[in-house]
Amino acid sequence: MLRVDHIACRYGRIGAVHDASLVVDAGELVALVGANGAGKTTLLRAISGLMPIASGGIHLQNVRIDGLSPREIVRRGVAQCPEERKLWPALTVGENLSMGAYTRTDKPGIASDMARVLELFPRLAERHRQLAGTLSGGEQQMVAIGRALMCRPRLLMLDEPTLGLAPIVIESLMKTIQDINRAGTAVLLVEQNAQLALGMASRAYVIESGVIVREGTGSALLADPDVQAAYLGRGRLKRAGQAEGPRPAAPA
Amino acid sequence: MLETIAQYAFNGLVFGANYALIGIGLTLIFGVMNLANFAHGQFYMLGGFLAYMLVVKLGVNYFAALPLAVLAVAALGWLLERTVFIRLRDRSPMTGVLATIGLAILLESGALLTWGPQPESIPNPLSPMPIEIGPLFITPMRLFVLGVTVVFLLGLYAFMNHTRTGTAMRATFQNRDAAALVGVDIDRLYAVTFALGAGLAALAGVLLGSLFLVHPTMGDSATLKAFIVVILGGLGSVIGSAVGGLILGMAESFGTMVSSAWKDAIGFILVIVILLYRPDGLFRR
Repeated sequence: MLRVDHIACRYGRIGAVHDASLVVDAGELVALVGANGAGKTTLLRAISGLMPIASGGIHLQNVRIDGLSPREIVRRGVAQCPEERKLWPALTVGENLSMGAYTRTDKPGIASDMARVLELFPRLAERHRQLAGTLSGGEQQMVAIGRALMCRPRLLMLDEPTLGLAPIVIESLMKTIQDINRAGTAVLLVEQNAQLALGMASRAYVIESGVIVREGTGSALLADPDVQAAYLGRGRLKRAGQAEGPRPAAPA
Repeated sequence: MLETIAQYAFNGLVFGANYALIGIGLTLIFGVMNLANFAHGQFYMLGGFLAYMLVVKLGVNYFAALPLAVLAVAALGWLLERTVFIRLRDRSPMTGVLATIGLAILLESGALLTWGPQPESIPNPLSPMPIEIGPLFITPMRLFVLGVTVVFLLGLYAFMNHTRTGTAMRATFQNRDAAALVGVDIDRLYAVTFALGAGLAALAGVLLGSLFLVHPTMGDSATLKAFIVVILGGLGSVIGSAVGGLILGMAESFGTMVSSAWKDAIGFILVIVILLYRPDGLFRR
């Protein structure tokens, strides 16, 4: 569905992404992991049309979308839930969510999607009229995901949704993301927390200094010694002594 | 004594509501586009002069000239955004400051060349005889000016809070990337914002110009007052600008009770005092 072909992006003369290619098929949950500053966010910004690409191409269902405005890209069903959530703190939760459907005009469809988001995150129903800036971090992340869902995306891109959240909140958030994916929305999950992302993704990519250096199934990458050394914060020796090793590869 | 106070309060309200119009326009442009518009007062001046031209030179009815002048300035704002300011997007804030100062000089000099330096009055069909309302003596024109400003301030409030474009404006104000990501057409929204801001300034120019006189340099003090209002209320706060406008209007009006020579200094004294205690203004988000 989404195909990114050898793209490069620059801020002025400084390259942030040098050579990135990835594919997300309909209904997949794909992870993109890498260290801080590896180019993950830049890649998502390029897909959403927030920043121009210097070379390469981006296709959605075989139609070229690089060079289109962010508005056109949202309309084609690619939603991004951006890094650090980027809510509008002085708008109510309800307004934040409704704005997600900004490009849509089908009132009944919007209403049913709103009902679905509130079903997914019942907490937000209670806080519908509250200003988004007054919510806890976890609740804010719910609003950010809900807002992205309000455009009824085919592909939901999530940039570091777990950033700054408590472990218990992260756990329930990940369950919700899996539910969204099972309901038919393809997900591109960008995470620094590689263990978490690789554990739930069917396929995954590793980005390093602006270059996609590895790809494979989530479980294969979890078991990859280089990936472990670089992103899972443990060398082979350490891993041997740990109770919680990588689980055997489950069929994706 | 009480009658005098009521009279000054009413005048303060008339001025304050207009300062609010000017200040809200400035704060919208600043908040949404991140542009400090130093030509804001010149839109105010142009509103007054276009109304004068329409009424005096073209014989248009005053009540038709008012919306025409406002719409013309709003259209000019739209055009300037699409031709000039769109090119300055995402440059350093100083570039925008210099461009708007240049625009201010251009508009003011253009007005001087076109209309000459003498002040003019905009004739209106309302009776100049004050009418008695309770303890107050009010000319019909002042009543009309207050009525129009209040209607516009309420309308603006409804627009910002209850329409799609208004909500998109507030969202862009708070986070532009997030607004772009849900599909807000940022270029169009910027043009709408600039047109709206310029139009609000022009409306105040027609209204206050009808109470007093219009002259090509009237924009300078209007720009300063707009900045006072916006700083009082907190940069980027619409409600703050409305309240800031009323505070400035009241302060000036009651200031003339004490000394009319100090009238224009009062606003600056207020700003200094408020910033000493609330460095972000009264309503900073």
